[in-house]
Amino acid sequence: MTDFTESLKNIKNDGRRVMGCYPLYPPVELLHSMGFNPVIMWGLREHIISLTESDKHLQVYACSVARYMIEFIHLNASLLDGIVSYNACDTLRNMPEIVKCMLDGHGKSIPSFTFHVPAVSFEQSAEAGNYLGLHLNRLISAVEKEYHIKFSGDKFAESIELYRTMRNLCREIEALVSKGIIPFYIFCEAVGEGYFTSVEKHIEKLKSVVNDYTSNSKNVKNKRIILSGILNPPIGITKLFENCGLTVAGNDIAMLKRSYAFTPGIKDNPIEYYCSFYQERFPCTTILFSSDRRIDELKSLIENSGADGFVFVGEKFCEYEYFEMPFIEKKLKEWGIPGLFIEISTEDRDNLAQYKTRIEAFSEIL
Amino acid sequence: MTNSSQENNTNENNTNTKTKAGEHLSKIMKEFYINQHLDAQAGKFCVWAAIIVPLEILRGFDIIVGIPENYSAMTASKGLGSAQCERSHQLGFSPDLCSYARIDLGNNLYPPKDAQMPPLPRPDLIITDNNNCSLLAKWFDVYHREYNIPHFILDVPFCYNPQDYDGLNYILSQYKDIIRKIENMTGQKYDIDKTREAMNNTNEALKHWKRFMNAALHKPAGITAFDSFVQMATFVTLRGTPQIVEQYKLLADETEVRIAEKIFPVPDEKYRLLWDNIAPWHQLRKMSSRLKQLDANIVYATYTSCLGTIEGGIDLYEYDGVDPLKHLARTQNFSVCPYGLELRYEVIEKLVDRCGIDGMVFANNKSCKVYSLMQLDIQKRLIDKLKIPSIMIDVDHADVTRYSEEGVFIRIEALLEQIDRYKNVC
Repeated sequence: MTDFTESLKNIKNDGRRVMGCYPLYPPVELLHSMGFNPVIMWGLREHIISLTESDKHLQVYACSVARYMIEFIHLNASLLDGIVSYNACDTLRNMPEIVKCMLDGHGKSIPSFTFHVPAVSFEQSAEAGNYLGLHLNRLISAVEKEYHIKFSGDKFAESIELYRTMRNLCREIEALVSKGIIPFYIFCEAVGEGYFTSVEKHIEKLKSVVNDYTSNSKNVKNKRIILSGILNPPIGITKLFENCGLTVAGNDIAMLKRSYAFTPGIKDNPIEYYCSFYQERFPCTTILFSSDRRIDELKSLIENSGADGFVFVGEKFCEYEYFEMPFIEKKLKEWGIPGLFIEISTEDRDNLAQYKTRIEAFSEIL
Repeated sequence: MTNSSQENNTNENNTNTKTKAGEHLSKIMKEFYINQHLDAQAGKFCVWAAIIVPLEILRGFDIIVGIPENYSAMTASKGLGSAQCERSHQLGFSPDLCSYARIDLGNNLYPPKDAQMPPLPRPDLIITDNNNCSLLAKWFDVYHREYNIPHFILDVPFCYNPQDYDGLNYILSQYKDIIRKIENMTGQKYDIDKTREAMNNTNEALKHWKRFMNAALHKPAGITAFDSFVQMATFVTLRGTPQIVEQYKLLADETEVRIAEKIFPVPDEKYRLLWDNIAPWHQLRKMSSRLKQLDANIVYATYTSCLGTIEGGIDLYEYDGVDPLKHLARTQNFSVCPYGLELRYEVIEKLVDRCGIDGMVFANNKSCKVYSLMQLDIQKRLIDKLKIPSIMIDVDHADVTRYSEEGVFIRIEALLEQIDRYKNVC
């Protein structure tokens, strides 16, 4: 398993600044174009064992994303040149000041930048686009001022293309996973590691995964499922699916498809790019106005992938996901698709027997 | 239908008789809910709004305005919260969701046949905001899907610093979007003069509210925080109406008279405490009674201090009578949750100083993360900077199954001992 601290050190050794980004969808292209290596601080459950520092600042009913993130920042503060966050959810919007308290307590300081992403569609509130533009301009100015650098449209266009390439590769591997050619856990690892490395190295990694497996043309006859949730399931669980004869035909996971499904076609204007990026992206429960579109997308996903079942891997205490689940469950029944709902909590990385039993039972009913 | 359980708590501490303000509150709340149903039967357009959606704007139309959060609080105060939560669990909603939401969803989507409190009239439009709590939008979005009705989300930037000019204008632009939306849906023409009048009413009422809250500054305090919790019902449902002016004037006048007559809720008040979080609706009477036996009074709460204020403030931000929409936009963050740790600490520091607080009770409320998540750091700072003893107790605002009275009071008693020790040292 990749050591993320080592990954950060490698980035620094390559001469790039590290910008720690709060999940879920920070403006990585922009930060990359300004000379940073953005790292999105999620998917840390299997990399951090103790939450000692986090527990001093967050109650146990905060989601694992927030709890591990604060621990990660504590452990890697000296490697982070800055932190960027936006109002992704109620917990994350409160985190910048909590993180500052944590750092202050250790006599540390990291430049912190926040910006606001409108939670509404531009169709409802036309001014929302201008307001996002205003915040992005402020973010760019603040970063320029803090690090004595200048934004460049040309570099931004180059960064967009790199991220587009990376996301296209993710989609390519997703298709190979859907065919049963690449194991789902390999895919999760490859995408998950990408959040803590440079996009250039991530592209190389993804290409190597494609090359390693394209000669494998096995045509498996497993039952096909769609996975949904915020984080990649723990590796032990991702392996369980294939061990139980289930192929992940598609996914609606925030760390996976919701992140790589869409790159705007705009070339070099950051305001236009991110207006599209946040308005038109693959629906997510944290993008408040996208819930209607999400139902349509899930239906398409199920139909296009020929899925036999739907597995929701819920992140405990992520209410954004849980408010939508009863309606999705109802829709699944309408569509004749069996659903399995499992919940992963902060400490769940080893105690997998209960999940094995449930996944096996689910596999049998498909 | 009344919220008598809430009002029973109001200022009956010494005499065990309901105050005039308590009786009047029962009356107007009963009328409010009955009138909603009558208006709905007459075919009036119905909006469900989150509590800090500016009701004064909605007063510019002839419509029904239902407030689900108030309804949930009332349900909880009547001891019916857990049963309604359970009904939402049966619909597939997670027990980890906010108990207000669970009560409301259970009540509306799976109403009990023998309901003591009938659901609110069915809405035609939903309006929420995301600055108090963006999960409100997720909660109300359930109705958007289930009832197939539009859902307007008012997007309000979270404040790490006081609201800026651009933030204010962004909110203002969305108010105009709300107005257009309702005009289009109802065919009514928005009447800004009605909003102006509503804003005047709210402003007048808030002056009385602050006068009422100032009774907490008296030693012994003329009120408890529980009294203020109960009286918030008027603010969240009847903002902008003449009834709220009448209610808060009566409340403030009566409270001042009681102080003059030396009638105090905790006559032998020895400990003055500050509460941080939403009211424990299911415990109002029990908690205040037990505190009284300990000569302790939770005199003030961050939850009720914020009405009529702006970020980080505790004093009334007065309406200048010029532009009601602009004033509403400037005060859109009047509750605690829309602003960050630094501003919240600022409020607490001011309250500790102004109210002569001996100790603080942080209610760790799993149902309200936005209120609770910063408390560990605020508590630490409070101890470090002000040397104020404090405790953190586990309380869910509406789900009694997540509350242990004995566990909480062991902690409260420990806090009082800590205050004694501190006073002796000083």
